[in-house]
Amino acid sequence: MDAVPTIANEPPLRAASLAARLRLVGDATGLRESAELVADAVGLDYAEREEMIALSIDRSRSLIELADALSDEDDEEELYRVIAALWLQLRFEWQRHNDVLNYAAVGDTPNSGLAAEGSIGSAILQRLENLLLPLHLDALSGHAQGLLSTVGSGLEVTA
Amino acid sequence: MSFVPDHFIDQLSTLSRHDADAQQFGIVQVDDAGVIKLYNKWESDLVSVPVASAEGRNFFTHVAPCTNNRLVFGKFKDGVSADHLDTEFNYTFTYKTKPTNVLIRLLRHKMSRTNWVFVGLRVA
Repeated sequence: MDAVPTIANEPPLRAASLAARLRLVGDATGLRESAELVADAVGLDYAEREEMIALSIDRSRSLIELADALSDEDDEEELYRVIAALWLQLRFEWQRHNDVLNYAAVGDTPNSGLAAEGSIGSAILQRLENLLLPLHLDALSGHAQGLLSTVGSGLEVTA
Repeated sequence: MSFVPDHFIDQLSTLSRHDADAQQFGIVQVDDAGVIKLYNKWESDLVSVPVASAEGRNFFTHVAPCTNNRLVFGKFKDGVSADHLDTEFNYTFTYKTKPTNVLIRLLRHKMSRTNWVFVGLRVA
């Protein structure tokens, strides 16, 4: 079998501060390469490909802005919390992409643009995970899961 | 016709890890709640999740969260509840991989009362 490579090229994370490490995660070149890899893998046309690259650049800018805003050593604990919140946000966003993609594609061909957007989002998720402790990642996943199952469990669906 | 051969299904009661790892498709054995009991090498390579970090965790909610919806986990729960599950369908993985079109087969093996998730690459 040809292994399907992961798309999040791992940034070197030996920089001194959390903000510096976040800047590496938000490195525009790395995110752009992920976007290009995904776009080529699903065969996006030129306009869609450029849209995906623009999305990756926008994500990169957001991460750098965050790192710059909370770059003081005293801000590190707060920055960690914001990164955790960002991880949750991206995880929910990816989940929405995943559901739209797969529900819409039942018995049909999947939407390449949506698939690419989901993959690019998950690549950023994976890079952010380098900044979070496994213990905290497990807790975040568990809480997010629990929250959604609680919300959905009481819903009466009528045909 | 399924990507999982019938003769392979017949051997599930006695499937060893070695045999599972020798197959050219993903094999995941889960308990009734979805907790992974066996995760084969092909599946591990496909999604870059080490076997050791997958086994013992819930497949649908933790290891493959893209399957945590009615299309996959919902079918699984309904099938376990009904004690009858054998369905195969198209799906697309996007979690930490480039978009990957796959076939998923969910099976409850009557004879051994074990549950299986099989994953095969789908050629466009």
